Amino acid sequence: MLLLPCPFCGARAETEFVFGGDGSVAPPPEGENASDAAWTEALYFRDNPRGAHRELWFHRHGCRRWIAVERDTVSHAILRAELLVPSARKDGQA
Amino acid sequence: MSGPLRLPGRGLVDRTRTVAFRFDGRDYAGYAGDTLASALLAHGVRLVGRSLKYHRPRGIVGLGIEEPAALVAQRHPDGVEPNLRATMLPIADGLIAEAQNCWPGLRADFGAVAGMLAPFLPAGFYYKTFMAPRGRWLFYERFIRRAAGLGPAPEGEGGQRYARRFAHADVLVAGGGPAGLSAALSAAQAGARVVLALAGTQPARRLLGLARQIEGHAAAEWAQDALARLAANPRVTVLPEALVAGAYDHGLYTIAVRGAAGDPAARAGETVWKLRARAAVLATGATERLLLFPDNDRPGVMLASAIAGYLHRFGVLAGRAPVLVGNNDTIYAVALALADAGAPPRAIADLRPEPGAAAQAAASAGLAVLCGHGVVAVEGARAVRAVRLAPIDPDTGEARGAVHRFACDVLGMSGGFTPQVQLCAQAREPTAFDPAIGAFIARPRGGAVHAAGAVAGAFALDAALAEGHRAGLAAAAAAGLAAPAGMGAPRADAGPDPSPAIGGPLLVRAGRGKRFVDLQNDVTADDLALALREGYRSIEHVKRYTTLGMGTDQGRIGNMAGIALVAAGRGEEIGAVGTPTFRPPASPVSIGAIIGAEPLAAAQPLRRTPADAWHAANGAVFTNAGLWRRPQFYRRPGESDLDAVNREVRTVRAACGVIDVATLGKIEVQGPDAPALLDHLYMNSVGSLPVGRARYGIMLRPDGIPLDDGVVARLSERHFLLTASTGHVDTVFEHIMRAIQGGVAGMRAFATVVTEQWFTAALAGPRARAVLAALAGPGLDLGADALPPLGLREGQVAGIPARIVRVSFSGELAYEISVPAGRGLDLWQSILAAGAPHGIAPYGTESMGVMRIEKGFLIVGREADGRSTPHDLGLERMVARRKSFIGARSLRLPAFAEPGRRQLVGVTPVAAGARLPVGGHLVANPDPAATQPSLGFLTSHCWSPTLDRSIGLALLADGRARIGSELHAVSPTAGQSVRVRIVAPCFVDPEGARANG
Repeated sequence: MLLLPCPFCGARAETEFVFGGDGSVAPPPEGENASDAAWTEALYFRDNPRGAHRELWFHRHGCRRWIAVERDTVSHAILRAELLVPSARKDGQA
Repeated sequence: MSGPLRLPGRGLVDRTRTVAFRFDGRDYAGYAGDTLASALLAHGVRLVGRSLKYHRPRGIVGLGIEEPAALVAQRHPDGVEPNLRATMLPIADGLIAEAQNCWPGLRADFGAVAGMLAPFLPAGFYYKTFMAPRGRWLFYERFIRRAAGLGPAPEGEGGQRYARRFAHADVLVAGGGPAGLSAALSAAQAGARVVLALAGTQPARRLLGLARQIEGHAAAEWAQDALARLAANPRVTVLPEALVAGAYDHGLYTIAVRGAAGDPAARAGETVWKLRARAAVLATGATERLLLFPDNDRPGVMLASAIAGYLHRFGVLAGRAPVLVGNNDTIYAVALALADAGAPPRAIADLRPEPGAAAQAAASAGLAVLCGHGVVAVEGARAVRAVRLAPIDPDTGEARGAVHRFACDVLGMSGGFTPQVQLCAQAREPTAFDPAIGAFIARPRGGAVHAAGAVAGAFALDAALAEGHRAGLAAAAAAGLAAPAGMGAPRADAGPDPSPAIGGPLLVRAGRGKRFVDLQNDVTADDLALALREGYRSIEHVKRYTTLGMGTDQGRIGNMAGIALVAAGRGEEIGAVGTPTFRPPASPVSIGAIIGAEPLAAAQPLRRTPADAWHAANGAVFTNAGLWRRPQFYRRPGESDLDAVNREVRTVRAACGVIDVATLGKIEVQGPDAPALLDHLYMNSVGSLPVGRARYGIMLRPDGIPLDDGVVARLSERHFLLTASTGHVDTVFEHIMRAIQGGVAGMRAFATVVTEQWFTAALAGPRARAVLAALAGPGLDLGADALPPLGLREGQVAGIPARIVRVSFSGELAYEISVPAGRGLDLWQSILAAGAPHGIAPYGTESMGVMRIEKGFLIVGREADGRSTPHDLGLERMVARRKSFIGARSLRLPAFAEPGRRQLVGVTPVAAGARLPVGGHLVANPDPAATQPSLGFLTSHCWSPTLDRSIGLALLADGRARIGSELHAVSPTAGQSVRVRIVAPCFVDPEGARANG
């Protein structure tokens, strides 16, 4: 069971969190003007990398904030964990 | 009194304390410190159980955790606990244990018939039988049912026997042998908080029987002293009878602890510790393997090291006339110990053809050593009487010379030693095959997980002590603790260390009888050969097909032999075959201990609304909605469930009713950019909502599918209140937070859940305004102009500050009245009192559900089933055209506009009195047994007291085009078929005159 270093609450057990999926997904650069194919790709297709992987976790039983975690999918080592913050870009998918 | 095979002056039992116990209906006595196995062996008890599949007589094989056969059930005052290893069960006064897998009794077991049927029960028997014609299963079934399962199912709750603890440590040391003790000592000296888990109540067996010196003391004395020093150190926790069962990510370990050490406060019989350790030293040792010869499972055939262990630890001779057989030098140490105890082996068969130094030394000491010999027969079904030894061809395993018969009462075997790498593998650290010992050894990378001693291949005493010392320091360092200078490892004398290196044939083919690889699951060498012949190659497949190593002992004494057989059969190296994946638990953990001592209700708390006590006192029949309990309806004397619901619905439609909707999710959103945020979240326009108004809204997921629906109310320019479905509020809140945190930079808006801060009652029905007017404080105008549909007002209701939203989920004139949660019960009772002259009735979720189906209001999770789009649900006109929102682009994907999509419709039987079948599918052919495509299915249905007929909502392919046509609602499982008419999804007051009046 993972021990996730929440930037607010400290190291907490995985059971306090909700997994939010791939955190590296970006909407197509064209935004809502993207082609159906490009939009579908961004919506449904996910990489399954071996190694560093950015993913989102919500600390449901803690600070109730989304945390962006970089996890090594082989060793489960947590490489980074930080508060999810808005990007500068304007996107249609959030 | 403690048994005829107990020798004076040996072992660590307390001979001043006699313990009386009962096994299989007979009374025995042993000493404090005995296990059930040692106490029974002292009395010469051979037969202790029957095997799972063939019901073969079985005796005690091992000394500890590896025991495959001697599983017993312990009778407690409040129930029976099955599958306890006799070798791990300390005896205590009044202990009552029983043999398992036998009926009517251990000695006359009916199920042994299965043993006679053995030729019909090969590997994969179940798979093959299920594929055979039906009649054959009926023939076999009576035997299978009797044979199925291991031990009796536990009786009673036994909750007080279990506990659960959470703990933290710098260093966990698993194992109390020389390496484990040495590691615990050095880690503790480095200042680490250490948890030391001992498999038994004593240091590991290796230390107790050694005629060796450590630091100038006898090995056993050094070990006892080391344990005492560790126990006295406040930073060290010594857990006896503690099996580390699981190693998980980031240093989480589960430890099953039997006895009071696990949790003294709970007086628990078994406690599961969940320990987070910064680093660990795995010193789990090695377990002796069985040998593969005919009838190697007979009671009295034991592991050679176990025979030595019973002698050294308990002063018990496993037999007066032993014979030993082995493929390595350790049997000679056992032989010398037996000779010293006055029971020299009648013969020692060494499977290796060439006599080594140890064999020559034993022979010159006068012991009968037969090199190149193996066992070709074991005589005696319930107790070994004699063995037949013959020269074995090391290549073929066949006999190639004269057979010698030796009368004996115990046969010790040693097939080499298997390092116990389970935890290392579970922690996803590497293991490596060591051909010399014929097994895999732990080779952890050395970060947070270290291994020392036999598990890492260091069998020699001095090496184990030195490695343990080093591993303890390395683990402490990994936990951030630097070792003080000048610490040295404990040193052993230069005594002999018998080599565990193996040689000779793997399998004795000569002779008749089963060669068991797994005694607990009755898996034989022939079963493995059969699996290979049938095409199974992967060790994972062979394991599952034959059940090799799938018992509670996890195949500790046989798996490596099985893997070697598979490798030989495949003509490959053992290292290439590998082991099956090791998964937790490495040893059995009681389900009760996993649950712990808390009542089950504590695992899932029940949430109650502020008016819960009133509901309970007034006939409410509750249902669960998430963790909440809510009244489903209120039953009056003499009413059936349906009577109660019908009455409540009619009362609301004719007069008025009130429902507790405190469970409704409530989220506040505030900030200057709150309107922009909400427009981003909802598919319809809500940012333009005037202050004091509310609007029904739907949030979509990024893929365009509804996430949830609810009402958005604008309390002020920068302040909104959203409602969410009771079960979805967490998800909705997380969705909103994701939009805020992961959205556009500089968005000045924030959200918080306020569900528990408010109590809400929904007052509905034509008399609702009159009831509310009776409670309204001065200045609270309820007129249709002041408070129109979807209007919002704040004021006093029954003297309580309240917020009123005119919103209807029933189709009637309705108000949702919210007050601070602490005043909830006041409000509820005031409404009922004020409503009494108008004939008010409280109503529950079932009645609410009937009215929403009558109105065709959807529920996310039913009609919006995770596949239907706003268009499918008939909500396309709500979708905003001139703004961007989450899910907007996805709605324009071509798949969402394809013909044949399922659309929301209403359904009602053509015959007025007929009822829609539960879970019915909509089809063209009325035959419920016919094979035909499903055109759609019912999502909700009920009996409508308003229309006096059965009605339902359905998702139907091209549903809107089918309105007015007829289909059939069928339930193939119930054999029901009803002719139905497809109608618009609103049955009552489609114009909305009642709610908007």
